[in-house]
Amino acid sequence: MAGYESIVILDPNTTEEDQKSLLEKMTQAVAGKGGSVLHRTLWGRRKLAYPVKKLDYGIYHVLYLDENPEALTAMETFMRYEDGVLKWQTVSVEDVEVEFAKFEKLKTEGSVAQNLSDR
Amino acid sequence: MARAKNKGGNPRKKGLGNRIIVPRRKTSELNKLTEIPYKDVDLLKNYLTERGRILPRRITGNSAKTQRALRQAIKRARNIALLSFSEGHVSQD
Repeated sequence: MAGYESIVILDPNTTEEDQKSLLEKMTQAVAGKGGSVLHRTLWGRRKLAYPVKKLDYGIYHVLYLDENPEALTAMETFMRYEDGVLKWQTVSVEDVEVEFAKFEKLKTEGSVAQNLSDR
Repeated sequence: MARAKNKGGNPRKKGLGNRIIVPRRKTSELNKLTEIPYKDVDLLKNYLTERGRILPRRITGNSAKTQRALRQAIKRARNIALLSFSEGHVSQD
């Protein structure tokens, strides 16, 4: 099923409960427009490649949504007003389940670079 | 003397004496991937210079198609702070 893959970077200085409730509210914003968050995964606390809002670290979350543009817009509008969200990026994907499985594989097994012999 | 002999001759017969050097087509393992995952930072880093610039195809041996996909993946990764736009920059604050 086609859908969206959203990476959301949250402020690491907020409490875990705050982050949880923020994601919960985002899910509700999506549900309010008839969409649904199919998967919600935590990537973890990562160092940012460049400072964002003067912060060096961020909590990365990856969300998979079904193909509902209005729901996506609702979620993005919500994030725009939230200080706890540093950055986000949405990419449309052909198959949500396939992408989710690939991401889980990346998380557990690491980079595919290990399997490539050159360089 | 050998150099003068080869001038304008067979381009394969470059080098010393009678050694024939056959240029090997450079290839990249990345060409075998069906798509390039933009979240795989360790993979993408292999195709950047130390300064964070994208390496040209003539160095990596990527196909045109692969290079386009790679460029897209790197730009996505940069946008979400997985990769930097430029390394070695000293922050002012």
